[in-house]
Amino acid sequence: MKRTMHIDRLGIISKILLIGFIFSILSPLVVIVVWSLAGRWAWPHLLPENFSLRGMQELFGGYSGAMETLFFSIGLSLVVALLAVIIGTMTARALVFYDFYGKRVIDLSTFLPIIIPGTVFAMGINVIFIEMGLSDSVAGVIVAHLICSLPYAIKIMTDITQAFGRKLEEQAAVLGASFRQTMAFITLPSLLPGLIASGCMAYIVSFSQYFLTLIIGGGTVMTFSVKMVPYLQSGDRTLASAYSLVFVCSTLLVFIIFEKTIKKFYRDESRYYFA
Amino acid sequence: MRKAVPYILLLPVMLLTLIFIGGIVNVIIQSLGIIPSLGLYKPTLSYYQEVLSRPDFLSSIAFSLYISFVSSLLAAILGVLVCALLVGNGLAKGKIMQITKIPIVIPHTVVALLIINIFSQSGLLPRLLYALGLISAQESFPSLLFAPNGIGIILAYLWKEIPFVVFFVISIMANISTTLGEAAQNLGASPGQSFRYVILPLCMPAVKNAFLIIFAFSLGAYDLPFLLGATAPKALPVQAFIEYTHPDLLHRPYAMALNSIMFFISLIIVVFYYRLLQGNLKKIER
Amino acid sequence: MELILGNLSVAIDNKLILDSINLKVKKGELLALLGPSGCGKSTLLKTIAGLLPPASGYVMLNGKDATDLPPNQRGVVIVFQDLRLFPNMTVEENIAFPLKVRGIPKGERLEKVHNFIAGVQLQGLEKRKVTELSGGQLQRVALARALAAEPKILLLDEPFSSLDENLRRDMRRLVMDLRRRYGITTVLVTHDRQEAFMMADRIAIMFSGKIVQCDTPKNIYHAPATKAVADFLGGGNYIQGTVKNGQFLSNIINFPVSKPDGQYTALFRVPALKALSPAENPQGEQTKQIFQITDLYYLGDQTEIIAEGSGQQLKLNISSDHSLSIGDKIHIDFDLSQVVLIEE
Ligand SMILES: Nc1ncnc2c1ncn2[C@@H]1O[C@H](COP(=O)(O)OP(=O)(O)OP(=O)(O)O)[C@@H](O)[C@H]1O
Ligand SMILES: [Mg+2]
Repeated sequence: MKRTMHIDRLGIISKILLIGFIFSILSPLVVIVVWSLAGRWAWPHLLPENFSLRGMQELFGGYSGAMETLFFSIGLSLVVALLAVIIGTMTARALVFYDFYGKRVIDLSTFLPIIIPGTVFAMGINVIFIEMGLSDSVAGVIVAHLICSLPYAIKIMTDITQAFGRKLEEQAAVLGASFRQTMAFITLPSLLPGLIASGCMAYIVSFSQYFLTLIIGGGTVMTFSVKMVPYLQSGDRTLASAYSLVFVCSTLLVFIIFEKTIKKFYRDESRYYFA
Repeated sequence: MRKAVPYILLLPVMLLTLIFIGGIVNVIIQSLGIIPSLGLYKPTLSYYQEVLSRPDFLSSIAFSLYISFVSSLLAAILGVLVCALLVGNGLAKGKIMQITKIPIVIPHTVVALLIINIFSQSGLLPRLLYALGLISAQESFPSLLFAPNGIGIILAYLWKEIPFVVFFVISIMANISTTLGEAAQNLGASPGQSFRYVILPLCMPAVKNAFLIIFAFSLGAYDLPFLLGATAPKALPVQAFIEYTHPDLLHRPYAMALNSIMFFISLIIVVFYYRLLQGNLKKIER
Repeated sequence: MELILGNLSVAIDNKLILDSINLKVKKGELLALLGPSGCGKSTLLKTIAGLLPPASGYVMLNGKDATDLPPNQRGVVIVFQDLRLFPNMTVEENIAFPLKVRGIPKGERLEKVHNFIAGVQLQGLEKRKVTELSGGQLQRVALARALAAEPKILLLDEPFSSLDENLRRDMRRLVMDLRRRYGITTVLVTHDRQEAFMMADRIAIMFSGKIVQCDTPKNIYHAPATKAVADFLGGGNYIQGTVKNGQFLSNIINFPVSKPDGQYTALFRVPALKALSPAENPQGEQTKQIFQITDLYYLGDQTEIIAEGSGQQLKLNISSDHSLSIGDKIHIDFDLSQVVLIEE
């Protein structure tokens, strides 16, 4: 009897800790929703004294250019995502299916941008880009974002390429399919979840870059991230929260797509293993 | 022809890697005081010497190491704790895990705002404490943000990195717990003993990997110390950027020396990471 | 220790995996649990050990209700199908683990471990990593580790399945030996019926989450409860018929039995049938019919014959020095002493 009570108490403590954990993740997000709609909210009020659409008007009203920046930013990150998916797929195929001189070095070097500090590489390539005429240009920003997001795309594509292996492609070839038919009917469909997942990941990484965009774009390439930071520093919490809210929502949308496809990928993968 | 296929496939990634490495080589060259466009040709270690003797630079290095180490260590410990709680309650998959992943994709700039909204002296936490009568005025809440103790930065990193550690470790922990953890309990171990002797040691490589990744990242990241840091001491990346954008271009080598120091620290981390990876591979191969 | 399961049901993800299991294993007995893949054998063992909570029913150990007892306090130890040796420990440390978690001091621990290692003949491998052992050696480490936990009840989940024939024989002998020495109540899961017949005091047969029969090997073999059980134990020739007034009646064969009236299936296992050439004089009533050979399969010493007659197909063996060929006509002798009657 005493034992079970002890166990119960442990169970309750662990539940309380977990609830605290989830609360600390979600509550700050709820707070920015409230702040973005707040009018006056002075110390020491726990809730806004009144609500206002000032933040929303600033964002969607058209005069601030926030929406244009948002769409430009989405476009730019989509380009980065597309390139990352293509290059990631190519790299994964080379790494999984071929043995070649220098494989280990390449394998390791694809991973470096995750560990080597972004500031180091940003200041380093900025100098090179100035010489190449790529600084302060959209192309330069795309290349820089691509370098940061590729490691994730390569990792995801390597995993899925490894999981599918070459078996199905070989089977198709034996059954008489040409290279292009095999690609269209076998390879691409089986890699599709990986393509979408790595695209989403690259998009999120690109969309979030602040420092890198600032330094390579030199302030002339205005992404949503670069536009938002001055508001964060300004002390106008309503505007800062409104911008952040748009930022978080657009990122979470892509993240949900990512989660859905990744889940499908893992389900498919496990089915693959049981077969 | 067939031999060329992998190289063709790797062409774009090699090109990008070349740019990346070129950037880093450039940092190192300029940190040695070789910048032809500024008329500097002679390699010298004097910038390093100066950086490593000037108090403001030294405190930058110390501050950055402190922030990264404390936040990464706490994130690793608390992340493992959360993992254990989730696995113990059978929640390693599903809704709660999805919520846990949210902070991973929220950018650091937004995280800074989240922290300001709650922990600044006009934030929600002091208001709550005031409403509960625990503090008497705004000023009696300790200043956590923009303060030399770096607590705001650490809190912001924790918000992002605890979920990262959970994400990184949970699937392996859930796996071990349902197989080897079960076996341990079956052989007479209490849940605590099973965790301590079997589950935790086997998760440790994953935890160490996660620690190295977040440590290296937070050491070299600009956004959070820029938005939440004090005027002094400044974190390494912030200090380096100030030197980099200094109107006097002759400050450039100082920026690059600071960058090189960050680079070499992260290089050491890469070596550790690689050895860990190799160790794991060997275990699996056997 | 005696084990009793009462109306035990287990559900995983709302799917019923075990359906009201009733089972009693006596102290010191070896019960073989036999059943096709996926029928719930491993699930049953895990439930007995307390690793899965039952949806309903109870587990009694030595007459005491143990349904809510945590796994580490039951004295029920499983040797898992996948062994689950701890990869971060050596052979010695694996075997010492159960002693360590019970707080046994180091010196005593080492001595005991030494004995267990000797018991499963693993001397010389004490310091090896478990990742550096062969399949048979791994099995023995797992067995020794389980014994080191001093189980009151030992549950073996297909412990020999991954071994070759010779090692398997050695391991069986080792388990029989150890069990005799320690007198542990044992449940052995297997889907090898020979193994079950050879080792078990009693056999429980399980199909899709239910125990359909539990009896001694002899009784189960000679009186399978259902056709499915008979099939699982090797099957043979089934002849449908009825029993009326103490006579089994079918279009192939009639014979007297002592069963109540009703629908029955008569099972004649392959050795119970004998082929006679038409030239030989048929002895009994039941061998007058003529069957035609439709297939012959050479098996080495023996040849399998498939013969047909009166709409019934029969399978029987004959010594390979025969001179029969497909299409030949034969008589068949039914050995009535070996017939098994199964009620429909
Ligand atoms: N974790 C799980 N989730 C859902 N279903 C499960 C799970 N574990 C087992 N099952 C299902 O329970 C049933 C019984 O599984 P169990 O492992 O007990 O079978 P078994 O008799 O041991 O088979 P085998 O001889 O192949 O080991 C199977 O149909 C399986 O699909
Ligand atoms: Mg099983």
